[in-house]
Amino acid sequence: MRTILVSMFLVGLGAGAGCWSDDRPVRWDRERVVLGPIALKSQVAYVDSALDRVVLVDVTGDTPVISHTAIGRRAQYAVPSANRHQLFVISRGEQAVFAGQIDEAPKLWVVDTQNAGTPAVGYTIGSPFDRIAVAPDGKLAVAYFSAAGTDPDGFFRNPNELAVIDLASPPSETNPALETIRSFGAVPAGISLSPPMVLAGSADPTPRTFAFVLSANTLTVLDATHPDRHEVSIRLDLGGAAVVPREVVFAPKTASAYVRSDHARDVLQVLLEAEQPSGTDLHDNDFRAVVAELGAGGGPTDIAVYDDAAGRRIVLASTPDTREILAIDADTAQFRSIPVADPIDRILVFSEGDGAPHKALFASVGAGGKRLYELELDHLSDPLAQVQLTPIVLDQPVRDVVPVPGRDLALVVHDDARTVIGVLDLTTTSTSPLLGVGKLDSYDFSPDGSHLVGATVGVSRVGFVALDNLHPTDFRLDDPPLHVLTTANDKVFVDHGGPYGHATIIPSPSAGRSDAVVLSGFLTADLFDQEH
Amino acid sequence: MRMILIGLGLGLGLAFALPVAAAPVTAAAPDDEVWFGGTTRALRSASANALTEDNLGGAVLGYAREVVVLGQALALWAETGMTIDTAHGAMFQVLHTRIGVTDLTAGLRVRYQLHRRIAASARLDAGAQRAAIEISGGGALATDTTWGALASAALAIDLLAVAGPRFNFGVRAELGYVRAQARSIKLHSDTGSPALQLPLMDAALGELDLSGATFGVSLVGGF
Repeated sequence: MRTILVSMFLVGLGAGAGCWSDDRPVRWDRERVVLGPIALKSQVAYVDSALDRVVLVDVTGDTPVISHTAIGRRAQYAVPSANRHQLFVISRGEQAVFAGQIDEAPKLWVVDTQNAGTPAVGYTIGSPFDRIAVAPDGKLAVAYFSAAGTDPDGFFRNPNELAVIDLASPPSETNPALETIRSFGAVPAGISLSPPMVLAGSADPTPRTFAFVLSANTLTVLDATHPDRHEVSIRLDLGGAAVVPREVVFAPKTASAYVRSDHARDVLQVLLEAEQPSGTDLHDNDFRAVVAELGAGGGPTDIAVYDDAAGRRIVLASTPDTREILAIDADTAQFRSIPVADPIDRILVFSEGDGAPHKALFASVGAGGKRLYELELDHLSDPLAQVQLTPIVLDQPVRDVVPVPGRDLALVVHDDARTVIGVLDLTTTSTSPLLGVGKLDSYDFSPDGSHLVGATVGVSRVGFVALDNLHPTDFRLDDPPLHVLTTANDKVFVDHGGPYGHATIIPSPSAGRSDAVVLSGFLTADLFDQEH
Repeated sequence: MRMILIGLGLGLGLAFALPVAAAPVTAAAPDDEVWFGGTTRALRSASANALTEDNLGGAVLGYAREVVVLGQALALWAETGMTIDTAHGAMFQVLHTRIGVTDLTAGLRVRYQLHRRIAASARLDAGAQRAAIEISGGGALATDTTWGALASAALAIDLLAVAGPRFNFGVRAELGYVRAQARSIKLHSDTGSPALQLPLMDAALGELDLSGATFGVSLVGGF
């Protein structure tokens, strides 16, 4: 008996000592950055860099549903697709230096938010890019570096390297395609991807996407559908201050783009024309870029593009230096000049539904002018029609103007602190001031443009303004808000911040407190069930 | 680690000492017993690892009474005990975690008197466990408390400094294992506001499993 007991004791002691030591998974000691909230179609997404997952809060039903999708290590940038059905996340990856770490290359993750449970698709992008541009049709993406400088976690960085990802194809050896664009010393400041465009006269009738890479003094055009082909570089410098391209708007019907640049004389039209590729160079492209200055002539500060009822593409450009607004026919480069007294630097175009825009609003935000100008667009293309700006005089300077989606309304912000705002009705050219309790730190419009939803950090309320009659209401929250978002199904999502995830979901702008629900802990949901 | 070394030392010491300890066992001995000491529980589940890399540590106290004499040196004791453990940790470098555990148990212990001053025993207990979880940081504090069942088993050695017919006193070293029911944890943040609160929906962290091997050293007194 004695020997048995001693043996049992020693065996138990050994077993106990053996299971005493433990290696805690490294994920719990990681630095954690949460990206979001990001409004999707009927969901709100957060990206957790420590737990390597995307948290989706689906607000379709009465009860919010939380789901997760695993992604790679160290997520650092996320953007939704244009239709908000997908979320694109770039993960930095890591090298296994400490126990528990894994070797993982930088990846672009495509998260299908419409089909819960579908694993994210990861494309190995080779370099730790931290920005991504996605084509409007969602079929192509280009990952690139921001102008953040050197990489503290790396050694060399090639800021002119791009990864072109064919999102319609699975990851492979050739997808993504890594390309380094020609540089004259500058690095990309942004990339715009065109809608699918067909080059007139080209032997290839397939619509393709072009990447317009914006760098100081250089505009680079790359056929993103065929990234192995040579890019086209367009020098923009005039010998003085650097010309920095800022905006690109596309005219896919004519395979052209309009580029506004800081310190440029004019709006630049870049027309892509088919050209026979070289027979000896397999990577030669089959287009050329024809560049034209559209005659703004005064250093445009803002541009807007629309298709009129006749299908003509019109470019509106403001040139404060010449105190003009120019309406340029993009196809013929003919333009009309409309004199304006103020240095306009903001152009907004308004349309009803999917129809052609019929009104434009002009503001001088930088100068803090007290006047806005309205322009009827319906007869702008008629050379016999008299074109005249209608001034709208306000009591206070204009610091910002934001269009209300789907409505002939604009939100006018009158002070830098966004405490005094107004709603401008373009139908009656009247403006109604709205006084807030504090700075309008976060705001959104309901999808149908029926309500303005606003929040002030530190004030436990959400404010609503019915834009039909400007009737203000408010919703008392239990906690102060940080962000306010609206989803496509008219739900209002109020993010309160915090490490666990804390949000109030209001079913509609007219809902009462008993209809709302506070969702807590969604960022740490199922934390214990994480696979290690 | 210190507790492990103490346990190893005791075990090795006993392994050498017991074969030569042939003194007769005292038939008359106290039949009531109390103990108080320190204990630690190794947390090895994935859920516990999420909260802390430390082990639970705390105090244990209990009472036992001899209920059946099974032989000259063998007896069955009924016992009840309470263990209070805590562990602290960190998550994501900024969140501080605290686990507070209270175990209430009752069970049976079989004790064999190896020597007048040495006894070996094995026990089997069952009971309830209250686990209080607290996570703070980033300007937020969230807590949850759950109750669940537990069962534990252990082997122990008693070394008596005083071994009289009416009173004894010594040290008990005990090695065991606690199997605790995994319970779902939902963190709550209590604002303390008297205002009517909006309907609240807390997302669960998952099931927290606090099972693990235990080791304890107690002062034990019989009367």
